[in-house]
Parts: sequence; structure tokens; C-alpha cells
Amino acid sequence: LDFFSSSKDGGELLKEKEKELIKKVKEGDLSAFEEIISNYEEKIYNFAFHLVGNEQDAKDIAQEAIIKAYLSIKSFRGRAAFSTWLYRIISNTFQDELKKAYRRHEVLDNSLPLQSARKNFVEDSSEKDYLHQVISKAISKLSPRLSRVLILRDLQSFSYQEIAEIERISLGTVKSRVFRAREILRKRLKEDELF
Amino acid sequence: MRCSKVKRLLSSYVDGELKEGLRLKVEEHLSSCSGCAQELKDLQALVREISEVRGVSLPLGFSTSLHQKLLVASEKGLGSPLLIFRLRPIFTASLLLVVGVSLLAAGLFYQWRLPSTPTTISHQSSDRRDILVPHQSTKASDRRDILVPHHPGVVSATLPKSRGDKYFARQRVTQQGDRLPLKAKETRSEVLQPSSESSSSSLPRGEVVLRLSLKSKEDLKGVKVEVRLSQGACFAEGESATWEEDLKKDIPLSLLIPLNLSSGGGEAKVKVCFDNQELVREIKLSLPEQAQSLPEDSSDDNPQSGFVLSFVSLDKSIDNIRDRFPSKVEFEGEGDLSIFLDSGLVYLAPLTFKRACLMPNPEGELSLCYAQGKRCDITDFQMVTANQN
Repeated sequence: LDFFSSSKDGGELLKEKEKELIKKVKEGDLSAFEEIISNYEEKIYNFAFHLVGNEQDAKDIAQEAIIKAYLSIKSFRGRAAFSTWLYRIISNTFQDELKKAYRRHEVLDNSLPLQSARKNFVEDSSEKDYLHQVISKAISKLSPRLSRVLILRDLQSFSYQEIAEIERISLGTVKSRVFRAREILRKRLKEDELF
Repeated sequence: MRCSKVKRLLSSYVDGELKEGLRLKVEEHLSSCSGCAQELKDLQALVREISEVRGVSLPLGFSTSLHQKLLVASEKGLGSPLLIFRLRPIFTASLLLVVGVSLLAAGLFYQWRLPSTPTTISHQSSDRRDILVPHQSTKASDRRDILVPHHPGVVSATLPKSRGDKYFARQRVTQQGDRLPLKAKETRSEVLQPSSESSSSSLPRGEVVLRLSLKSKEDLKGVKVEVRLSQGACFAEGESATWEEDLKKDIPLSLLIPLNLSSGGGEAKVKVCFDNQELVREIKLSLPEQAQSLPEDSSDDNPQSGFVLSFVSLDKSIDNIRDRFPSKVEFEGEGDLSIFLDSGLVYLAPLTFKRACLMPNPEGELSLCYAQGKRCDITDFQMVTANQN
């Protein structure tokens, strides 16, 4: 559960170290960046994975986003927390990539019934695992703006305020998106008689 | 408080994101409404289940491949205004191809770099740039143009080259006088290679192309062409380049006139000598200032502006060169960049994206790649500038 916890509880010492590393990155030290990002990459990858629902795309967009963050590091001035700044770029990149994917494929396979997940379900998995699998799939089928907010909130434990900053939306919008995303999930799970 | 309102607030309530007053009201309602209390329980269970969805671990090789991509990115300069280009193995062959013209391309890079303060470019970029490449034709010597709209940033191109290929950046050229038995036309240019390699290597990079075609029905032999730029060009004033060519009536001669694109243009004097006659033509080179100042042969009705990246193959042995252009075109600047394929819009680069490249794979098929080497194959593609108005 570790990496689901918000990055903000890293402690002051960690923050200081991060600050030091960021300075190095700005001076062109790539390894410093890799050291920073090693604390985030699994989280970022998970963010991507829950968003797109498959490993290959998740890997591609996660790496793209990380590189974008690296290249934008000079624009980080420390006004926001680094994790917020980083996630803003990450989320923004994901948004762009999904838009492109959407244009490419016209429609993502949203029509695919969740029922198919049940068919592919490996029998020896527990009922819980199956439920989680369906939830995961359902999250990736939400509209990206809803799923991003839901992932940030429920899977990565960001506060509403942090999400508002990451997504550049108002607190009220965060609230209503979290609400709507959960409502949709609940309905989906109900249809599947899982909840 | 009504149930419907409470139900809407439950989500925030579960997250502890309700303000004190509202929270108390919700709790008050919950204590007296079993329906809403049940709803809360369900929601809490749902949130718990979601949060227990297991994370996936990083795929094998994630950090390694990320490291490689970061290396490429950092080589290109961290935070520099230049573009970042990351290679996938499949592009290595293309890269070798590109290296072959690095000398020329380096010149183009330089020449295509627009002034960072767009004072000499009067039109500012609008919110969005669409860039189209003309449909490919299939004969050798066909000319391919890419119109590169003005950006208040860097416009650069990397081009492959095989024997006889010529690339040039072109700007509108205004001509004056009409005393030559030659027709001078700067649009619809075709390029003739200078006769020897040495004269080719002496050519500056980033040229303006002027096409001279004969009015005479006869071939003219031993025509001397001299280009002298008087100001504002790459050449020092008075410096000139001279070629001697046989002019064939069916092959137009093109002059490659060096021009420093950031200088705002200049004046050129073209001297053509044959049969003891000397004919001089003055040419003015200027930066396009208005959207309308692009080549008049532009088939599109939209007023367009920018630089034209052209490709000509003189390798007549190739019947089909549709797959050889362009190799890679990169853009950086303000605004969005869109590339359209037959199948519809596939690429929309937001302001922060800064990069699009078109590259042929080793088989010569064009790919549109974006992000980091992600690509989709293109058989037929188009880029156009959006109507500036």
C-alpha cells in the first residue's frame, strides 16, 4: 500500500533532499532527476495504467510524461510542492495522449461490456480479486477527466486541494467529479451484481 | 436537509472534505435517515474497495528504457529551445541517412532559425498552426513543398539526401526588370545541381531559389551565371558565387542564392552571360511580411505564409519517390501543430508539445512520430497551413 500514500508525507528531510536534487537537475544532472523520479515512477506508472488499462500504453505515456517533466524542470520554481508540479505535468500529458488516442481510434472500446472481464477471469482468483479487477477496468473506462480525478483521490490519496491544483480545476469541480466518478462506478458494479 | 442533497455531499463527506457547518448538517441528517445512512455505508465500502485495488509493478526494463530516452533528451539540451528528438532503434537507419546530409541540414537549421523577437516577422502566430504537406506525386523530379508557417521560435528540418537531391528553404523573391532572354521565376522552382562537387560544396546553406528558364527556343551553351548579393545575406557584400552551365531549353536553371533569413532579406544581382552578351537582373530578397507573400503557385486559396521546405530529386532512375519526403520535420513554437492524414486528424500538438517529426523507416515508408518515437505509419499525408485569417 506504500506507494499509494500521498507523497506529501515524505517528511521535511526528504523535501530538503528533493530540493537539493532539483537544483542539480536544473544544472543538468540527469542522475539527480532519476533519483527524484525513482520515488514517483511506480506511482506515475500506476496512474497511467489505471487510466489506459493496459501495460504498453501505460508505459509509453508514463515515460513520455516523465521526460516532459524532466525537460520542464526549469519551470519549477518551488511555488507549489514538487509532487503537485510533477503531477500537473503528468496529468496534462496523459490528457493530451488520451486525446490523441481518441482521435486515432475514433472511439475507445467503451462499448466493451464489463461482462467480458468475467469470462477472462481466472478461476482461482478470489472473489475480491475479481471485484478489484472489474473496478480497475471500470476506472479505465470512465471518461479520462473523471478517471484521473478518481485515481488521484482513491488510489493515490491526494487531497481535494492537491487534485484541484494538479488538474487546474476548482475545488467544487473536484468534488463533483469525485462524486460522479464514484456514482458511475457504483452503477457499473451494480449492473454486474458485484455491489 | 433533503436526502437528495445529502447524497450529493456524501462523497465529500467520506473524504473528510466538507466544511464544518455542512458536515454537522449532514451528520444530523444521517442520524435520523436510515436510507442515507445506508447509502453512506455503501459508499464507504465502495471507496474502500477502490483503494484496495492493487497497484501494478513497473514493467521490466522500465527504468532502463526511460534512462535511454532521458539521455537522448538531455543530449539535446535540457530546457534549451531546441527540439528534443528521441530515437527508437527502428529509426537508426533513418538517422544514418540523415547524418549524410548533416552538413546541409546544419546549415538549414541555422538558416531556419527565426529571430527570437519576431520583429522582422510581422505576423504573429495565431492560436493554432496547421501544417500540411502536399499530396505526394510519384514521378522523379517532382517537387515537394512543405509550408512552414512562421513561428516566433525555431523551425528546423532534417533532410535525407541521395544523389541529386536538393533541399532548399525558399522565400518570396521579388524581381525587377525584364531584360533577359531568360525568364526568371522564383516559384515553381526546380533545382539543377551545380556541375561539380566543388561548386556544390562552396554553396552556402539555406538558399533562396530562383528559377531561370529560357525564353529562347535554342539551347544556350556556356552561360555564366553570377550571383552577387549586395546586402543582408550570408555572403559578405560583394562576394559572389558563379557557375557555368549549359542551359537547355527544357531544363530550367535554378540559382541558389544564399540568404540569411533573419536578416530581413537583401538584394541580389544576377548576371547571366552568353554569346558575349551580359545581362543583369536585379533581384530583391525579402522576408515575407504578410500572409499573402507566399508563392503564388500555391494551389491553396488560403493566404499562406511561412517558409517552404522543398524537395527535388534529380535522380531520374527513381520513378517513385513518394516515400522519400520529408524525412523529418520538426517544429517548435507557439500554438498547436496539427498534422492531418487521410484518415483524419491524428496529431495535435499542444503548445507544450513542441515537436512533430516525420521520418521514413528503413523501408522508406513514412511515419509520423510524436511523443517519443511512438509512431503511426503514413502512406499518404498532407500538411497545410491553416488560413491565417
